[in-house]
Amino acid sequence: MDEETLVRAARRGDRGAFDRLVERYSHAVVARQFGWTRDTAAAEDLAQETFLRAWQGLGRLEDIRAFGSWLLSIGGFVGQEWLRRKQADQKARMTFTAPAPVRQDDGPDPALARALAELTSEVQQLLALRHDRGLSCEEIARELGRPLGTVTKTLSRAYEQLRARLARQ
Amino acid sequence: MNDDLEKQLDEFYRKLDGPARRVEARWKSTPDAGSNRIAAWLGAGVAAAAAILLMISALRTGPKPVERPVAQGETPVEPAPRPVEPQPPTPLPVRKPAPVQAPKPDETPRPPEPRPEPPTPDPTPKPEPPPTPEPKSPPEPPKPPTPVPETRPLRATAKLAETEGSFELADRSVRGKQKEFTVHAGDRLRATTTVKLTLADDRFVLLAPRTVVEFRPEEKKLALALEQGDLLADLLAPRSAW
Repeated sequence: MDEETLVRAARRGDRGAFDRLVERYSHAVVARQFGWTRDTAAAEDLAQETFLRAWQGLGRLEDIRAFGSWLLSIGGFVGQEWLRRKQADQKARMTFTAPAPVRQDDGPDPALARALAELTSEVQQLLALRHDRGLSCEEIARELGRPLGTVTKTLSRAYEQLRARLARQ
Repeated sequence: MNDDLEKQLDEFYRKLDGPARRVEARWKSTPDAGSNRIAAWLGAGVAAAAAILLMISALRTGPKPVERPVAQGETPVEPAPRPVEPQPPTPLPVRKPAPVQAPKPDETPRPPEPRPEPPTPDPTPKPEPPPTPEPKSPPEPPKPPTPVPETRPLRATAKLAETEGSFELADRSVRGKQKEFTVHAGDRLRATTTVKLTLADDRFVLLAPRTVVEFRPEEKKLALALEQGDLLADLLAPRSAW
């Protein structure tokens, strides 16, 4: 079933259809939230909140074909809110406790996550389709209903931006 | 270059498999939220509104038991009001004469109650209307001037420009000259001596001793009615002067 059909069904209240969309975008949303939090547990919480908000606000989605970027933009808002709360919380705690040590684990690359999170929702969606779901450029173009040239150009530009951001860090 | 970055990205997303699966599982385990939640809230709201309406209607029907006897005394249709019915038939005739004085406060709430009932019993409401208008009609005439009190203090009043002579008015005796003398509707003036009532500069009444006049309301004015004795002088346009 294609994404447009799933989104239409979900808009009609079909929870199963939205579950399928969650499966499709879980990696992309978690990746985006991990860019903000650099903590997988917190990223999972924010991803859950992102899907919840999307489910509740699905009726407000104007362009059904833009579901992916719309969902990731919601993830951006959720992440920014979390970051503001975190910063305010840290300011309040600074005077009492030392800053928490940076977590080192075997998880996803925080630098790459951060660089990803700074990209636009559309570009993040493209990268997720390409590297999470493993779609080819032709499949992505078909999925999003965009010209193949647009997809390839956008992807190559995304790589350049990522590389530049990683070099800065 | 791109290959390295693409590999990095592949690995990045692969390492997110665990968190992503957990998010999917959490999402699927969450009770239906969102649109269904909104529907649930709407349903709850409707139910709450219905409950409130029921409570309001119950409160309104609360006082009915007192009334129902009056309305349904003749109709043996509904089961609920009946328990109250057996008692009222007798009090009904007793109440009708009394309502002129006391029952007035009770009767004001009654008019709204019969309205909800009409839908079911058509013949029953007919007996109800008579009781309500009957008590209301007598007390209403005095009410217009002042709202609440229905007793004598609300009577129409008039001011006499001047009185001269001795007389008794409403159980009090008055002597000598009185300016701006107030009289009320229903007051009886009994002249002890010759009494001159000045209504205006050139309008007066001379009453012989032992003459009794009563101030009666007539179309928002007070008129003098001779009940006993004689008028020594004609009254010139007495009503218009007041």
